[in-house]
Amino acid sequence: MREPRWFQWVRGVGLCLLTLFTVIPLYVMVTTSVKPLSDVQDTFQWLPSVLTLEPYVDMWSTVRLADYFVNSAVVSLGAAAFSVLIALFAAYAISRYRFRGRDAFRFTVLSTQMFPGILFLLPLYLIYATVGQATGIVLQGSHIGLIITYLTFSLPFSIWMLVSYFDSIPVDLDEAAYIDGAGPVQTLWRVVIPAAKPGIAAVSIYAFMTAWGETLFASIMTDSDSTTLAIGLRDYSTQSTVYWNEVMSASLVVSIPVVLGFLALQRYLVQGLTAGAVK
Amino acid sequence: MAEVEYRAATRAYPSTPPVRAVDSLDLEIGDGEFLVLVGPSGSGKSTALRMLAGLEDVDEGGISIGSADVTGTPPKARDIAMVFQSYALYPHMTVGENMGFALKLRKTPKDVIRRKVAEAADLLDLREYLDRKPRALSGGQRQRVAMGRAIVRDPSVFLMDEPLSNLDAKLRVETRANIAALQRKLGTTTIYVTHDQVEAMTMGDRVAVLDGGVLQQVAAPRELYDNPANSFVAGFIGSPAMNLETVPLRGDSVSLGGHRVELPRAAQAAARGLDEVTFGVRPESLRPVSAEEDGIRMDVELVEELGADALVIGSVDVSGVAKRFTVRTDGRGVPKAGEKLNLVLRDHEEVHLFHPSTGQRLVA
Repeated sequence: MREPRWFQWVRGVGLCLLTLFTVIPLYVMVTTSVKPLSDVQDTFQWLPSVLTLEPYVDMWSTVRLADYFVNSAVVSLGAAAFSVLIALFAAYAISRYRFRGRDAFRFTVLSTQMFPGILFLLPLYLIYATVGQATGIVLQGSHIGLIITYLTFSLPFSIWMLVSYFDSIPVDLDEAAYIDGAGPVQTLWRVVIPAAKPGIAAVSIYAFMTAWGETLFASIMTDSDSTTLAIGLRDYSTQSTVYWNEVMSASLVVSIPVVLGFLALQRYLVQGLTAGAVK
Repeated sequence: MAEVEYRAATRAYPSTPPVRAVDSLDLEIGDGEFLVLVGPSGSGKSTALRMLAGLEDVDEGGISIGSADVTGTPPKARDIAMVFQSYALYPHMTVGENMGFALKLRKTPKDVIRRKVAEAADLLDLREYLDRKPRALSGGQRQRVAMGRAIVRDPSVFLMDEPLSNLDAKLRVETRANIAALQRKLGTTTIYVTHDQVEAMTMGDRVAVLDGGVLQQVAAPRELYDNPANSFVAGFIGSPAMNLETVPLRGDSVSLGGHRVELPRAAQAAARGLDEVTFGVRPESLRPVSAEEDGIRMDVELVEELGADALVIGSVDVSGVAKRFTVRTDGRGVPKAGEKLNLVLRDHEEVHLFHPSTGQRLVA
């Protein structure tokens, strides 16, 4: 059935508006990042009158951007690595073994996703403070504290997602590996994990991005030595000036890992690695 | 190579009451023998195979391979290779890597692996596919890779779990012959699970028929066909199935389609004292005769022409109830649906009699 002409128009206009809504902020971001500071502080111009790459150079010295980068990278990679490692074993156990408490565990993991994160902020802070007093291990303001925090965000979803991924891998593969002479760990490592690569990639990128962009917990749990990028971007606004051009250039650079992550994720998701395993 | 022995092996799934998927299976498989486990779905044939593989626990009894009791041994220590119904090829490995995986796990030197994989690939006509991933292969090729993975190991026992059921009909017949020939060539003890009784009859040195987790009969295909131990085996083996009806016994004969069929002399003594008997006759043991001759009257309902011969399916009056009978006739001059046919036994001895309640064969 052909769609009526008016519907085609409405759809076209609607999609154009949505596209503008998405693209304009990005456009403003990019153009602002190549304007000199004086132009940014003046009235807004759609087209930059002077093009400069200075903000991309100056942004590194205005604030300690490189340090923030390192902090974010350490925390995000750490959270992603631990998240994947723990989720792999947990999900494999849930997917392949029947044990007492399995359903309770699944439900608990899922139920943590039902509460808003801010509920955990204060309790977590108090726990960190108590642990710090009792053992001398400093968790507030340290990388490891933030890694643990972000782990609690991404781990439940990671486990859940990997369980469904493992469930889609036929148990026949595990059994073939057992018969070929592999033990449980070898089976997981040499057969199941390679077959689950797309799922693992998705989970690690998810965990990485969760940590990379997080601001609420980072604003409480970091100190000047462990400030992450999302918090550090605020440093471009000083009492006298807001370096809008550098805020934009830094934001663009900060987004690069996330964009790359998305691209990698997309490639893996369409790959369908298990095709040809059975039948 | 080795012989295999099930000793009252039982797999009971916990439930109330426990489900005995395989119930006290006693079975000995000789060195180099090709044994087929056959039965309908849920008969326990796959479970029995998986118990031998170590993928399923043995709850009672035991299993030996060669001289070793493997009842509690993990699969990797059993020296067996298995071909799965789904093939279960490792999707991220090439054909060559799939075939060599077991040897790699055993830390076999690389050049030995390469040589053995190449030998198996030649045997299975897979040489040119060694560098491909399973997803780039056809169903028949994947099946051969699964076979290759088993052969490369040079195990003491091959286990095959319905390896042909994902192939189309023509390829299945072809592969069936190839597997049987390969097994004779390698001489490796093989246990083959199928629900297809044609596969069972054509491939096995002996065939073990299972039903409800219980071994019904184990014998050479011919013996199974000619002398089924009970009415289940009689009905299961043979295509089309044996005509099998429980009928009242009148002296030394039964009445079928208004015709008195006298029991074979040897059976008469065994049937004495029974009111009823389960009477079986294979479709090819019946022969249509002209309308003037006395015979079992059948109303033809359907004729399936197979070319060389034809199957005539119709109803026969058995103690007042219309029962469906099948007759195999010559392919030329077949009767038409709606016609009436008189049938006689080709040979008086070619009937099978079973106890009406136990189902056991009445004469040896």
